[in-house]
Amino acid sequence: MRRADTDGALETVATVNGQERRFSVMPRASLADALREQLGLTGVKVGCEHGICGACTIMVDGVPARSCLMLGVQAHGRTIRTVEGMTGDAGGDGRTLHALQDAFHRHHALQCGFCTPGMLATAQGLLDDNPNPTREEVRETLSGNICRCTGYQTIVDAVMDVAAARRVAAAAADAATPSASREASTANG
Amino acid sequence: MKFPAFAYAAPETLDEAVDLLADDPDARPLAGGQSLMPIMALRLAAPTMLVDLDRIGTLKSSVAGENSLRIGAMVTHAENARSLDISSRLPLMSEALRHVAHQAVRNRGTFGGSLAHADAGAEMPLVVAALDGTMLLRGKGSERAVPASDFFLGHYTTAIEPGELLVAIDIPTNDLQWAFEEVARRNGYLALAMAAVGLCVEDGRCAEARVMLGGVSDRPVRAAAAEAHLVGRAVDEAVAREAGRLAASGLEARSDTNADAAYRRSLVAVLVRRAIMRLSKGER
Repeated sequence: MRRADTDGALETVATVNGQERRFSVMPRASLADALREQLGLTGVKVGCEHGICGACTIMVDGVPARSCLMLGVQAHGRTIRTVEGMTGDAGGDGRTLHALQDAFHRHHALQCGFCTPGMLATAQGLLDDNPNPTREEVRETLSGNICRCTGYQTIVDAVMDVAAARRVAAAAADAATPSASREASTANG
Repeated sequence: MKFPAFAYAAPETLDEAVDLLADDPDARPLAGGQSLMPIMALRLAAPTMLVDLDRIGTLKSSVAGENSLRIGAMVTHAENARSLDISSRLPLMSEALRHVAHQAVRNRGTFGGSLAHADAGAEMPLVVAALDGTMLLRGKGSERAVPASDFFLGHYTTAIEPGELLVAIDIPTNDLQWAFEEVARRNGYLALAMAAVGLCVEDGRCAEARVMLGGVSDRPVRAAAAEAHLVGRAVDEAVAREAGRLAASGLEARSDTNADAAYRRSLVAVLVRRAIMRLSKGER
C-alpha cells in the first residue's frame, strides 16, 4: 500500500507533458505546488488555493482538474498536461503555439496572464467534449475560472474562434477525401 | 492556505481502508477531494491521516437493478452525468447534476463524497432525499443501510459514525415526472435554495406529489402541505402558486452571508411554482 507519515515523502511517478517524471513529495503538498516546486512547472498558477478561482486548472488523464485540490502524491500513475505541454501538442517542436494559445494571443484574451493557463485547460476540456459550443455554453463553462483583467469577452471570442476554425478544417478534410459519390456525380454531370 | 500536515495512505481494498479508519479516529477518507481539500486549506478541518479511496475499484462501479440503481460512492459527478442508466431512470439526478459546480470539479468530485460532506447547499443530498435513496455504510465488521430521511442530520452532519465508510447508494426508480429548480449566486455555486418536485398526473388530476426543498434548511426538507394541496387537483397556475406559498410558509430557513431566511423562503415559493408549472406543461 502506498503510504507515508506526516513528515515522510512518497516517490511519485507520473507522465508529465509527455515525459515520465519521478519526484518525491510530502503528503500535504498540493499537486499544484508539487508541479511548481518539484518539477519547475511554474505555468501552473496558484490563486485561491481552495478550488474557486480556477487558475491552477490543468489536464489530468485528459480532462480538466483543479491541481490545488489534488495532492502531489495522487499524481502517481497519472498523465498530466500543464500549459508548458500545450505547445508540444500543436506539432512537436515545442515552439508552435497551440490553436487556443494562438487565438488567445490574437484576440487579446489576456492581460496579466495569471488566469490564462487555467482558462486554456478549461477551454480545451470544453472543446474536447463539445466541439460546437454556443457562446452561452462557453461562458457557462468558463464561469469556473476567474479573470480580473479582460472582462471575459475576448476570452469567449478566442474559444469561439478555435471552435469555428476546427469546423472549417473538418469540413475541408471531408471535402478533400476522395468519395465515390462525388466521382459519381461528376460522371453523371 | 497550504494544507495542514497529515499522513497519507492509499489502500487497494475496502477492508484495508476500513481498518485504517478504525485504527485512527482522526483519520478521514479522501474521495474526490473537492470539498475536503478546500475545508482543509481553509483550516476548518485537520485530519491526522487521509485514506485515499481512489484505488478501491469496488467503490467505482454502479449496478442497474430491476427497480433500483446502486451507485458506487466513488463514481464522479462527470461519470454520473454521462450515465445512460441515470438519465433514463433517474432523470431528476441528471437534471440536478447540471447544477453541480464546474466541469473541472465534476471530473474529480464524487457522488458519495458529496453526500458524506452534506453541505446544505449541495444538490446530491436533495436528489437522494427526494428519491428515497438508501446509504450503504461499512465499518470494521459492520454493515448497515441508512435511509436518506435518517442520514442527513444537518449542515456537514450525517449519520456516518467514526470508522464507517459510505460505500454505495441505492436509489429506487419511480413513475413520477420530476423537475429540479435552483437559484445560486453564480452558475456552479452552491444553491441558496432548490426544489425537486415529482408529480403523477392521471386524467388531468394530480394523483401523487412529492415536493422536496434543499438549501433552505440545514438538510433536505419535505413540503408536506404543498404535496397535500396538489393531490386530487387539476394542476394550473393558481394551484402551483398556492403549493409554492404553502411550501414556503412556516419554513425554518437558514440565514447566512449569502441570503437571509426571508429571501430563501421567497425563493422556495417561486422555485416550487416554476417546477410544478414546467411539469404541468410537459416541459423537461
